[in-house]
Amino acid sequence: MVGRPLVESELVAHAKRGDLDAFEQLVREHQGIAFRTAYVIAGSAADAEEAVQDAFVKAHRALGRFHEDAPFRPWLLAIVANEARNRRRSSSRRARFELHLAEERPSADAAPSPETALLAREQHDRLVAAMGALGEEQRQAVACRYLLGLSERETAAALGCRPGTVKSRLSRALARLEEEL
Amino acid sequence: MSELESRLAELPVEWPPAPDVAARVRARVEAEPPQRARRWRRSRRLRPALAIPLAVLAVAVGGVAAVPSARSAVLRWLGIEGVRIERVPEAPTPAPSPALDLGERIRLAPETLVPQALGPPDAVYTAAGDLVTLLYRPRDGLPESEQSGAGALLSQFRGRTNAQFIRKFAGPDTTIERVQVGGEPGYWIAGEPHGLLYEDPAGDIREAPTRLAGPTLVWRRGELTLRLEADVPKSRALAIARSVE
Repeated sequence: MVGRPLVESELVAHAKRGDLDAFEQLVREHQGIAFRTAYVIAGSAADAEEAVQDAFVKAHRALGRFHEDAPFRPWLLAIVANEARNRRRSSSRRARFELHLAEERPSADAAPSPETALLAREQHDRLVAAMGALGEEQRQAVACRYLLGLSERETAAALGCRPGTVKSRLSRALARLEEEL
Repeated sequence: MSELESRLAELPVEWPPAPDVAARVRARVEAEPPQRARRWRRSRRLRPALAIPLAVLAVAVGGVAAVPSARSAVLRWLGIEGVRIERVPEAPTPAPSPALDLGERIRLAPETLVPQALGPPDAVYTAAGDLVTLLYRPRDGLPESEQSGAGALLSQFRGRTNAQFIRKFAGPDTTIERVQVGGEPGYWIAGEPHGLLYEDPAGDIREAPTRLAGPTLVWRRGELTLRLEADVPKSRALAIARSVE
């Protein structure tokens, strides 16, 4: 077997024609980022999981309207985020997503001294604490753009606003973070 | 990226583990009824609510043009996918309540086409499944339409073969002109206002009753049918249509 893997636009084209294997592959490729985006917006992992499932089912229904040559991810994230927002709205908790930091294991070749590691850890904690002072809109924008590494366009899709709004939200958030730090 | 931005990007965030939903999603998608059947079921559910508008329509337009089964002369029809334009001997009379019902208000989705000549819309609506309408309030260069009260309305939906979705009734004083938009066919409908209604593939009226529409450009773009209604000259309508992306 020498078949090269299908590129995304081909997968989408196959899925549009009813190829469920192609669609399943799209789900596998995007479910990680879809889940994390939903988590940022819904604020709870359980809601995020439901939102992602429903969003993929809806995306499959709407696939006929999707233009094959358009980027798939922003389109998908818009659907995911919509589902996540609906869940957040209907839940009484209005949960804010929590940020946990991974335990950092020094890499073998450049093991930092314990002091350096502690210092980095402290800086990271301060940054997370500063993010806690942001309003939910700005915090979500920062999380999507920087922590999840979404593009500006994808962030706009996830937050349901225009790229211009993302820009201004981010610059206000960054200014606020600088102040807090 | 500023220093702060890089520090944010490098935060070692530990996200909750992402569940593998692929198998569950696939099972649900496989259990879905085929598209056509679902659309039909939905329209059946809507039918009782639409009985009144349909009755109103029949009274309002009378023998002139209205109901799909009417024997009134369809002098000729022409159209593009999803749009049927019928010539009728007399201009349609407006429905008693010409309130503009564009459906449910939604946020602008990234896949929705927007005319760059007009910029972002003032509001976005969705109705009847996949019909999306952008609303622009009246402003310089976009006078308030006597028919809709809006400056411009741009609707888009996926054209269906073998079925009409928008039906237009054009009286003798309405002009219909064939045009090209980006190499694809379209029609410019101007002069006397024309009647407009939405209908689903099974022939059920599934949108608000007929209303009168002002100058309108309908055209195809790939799989989509677009409809621009604005009280502007043809050249301006074409320029707006060509700026859609």
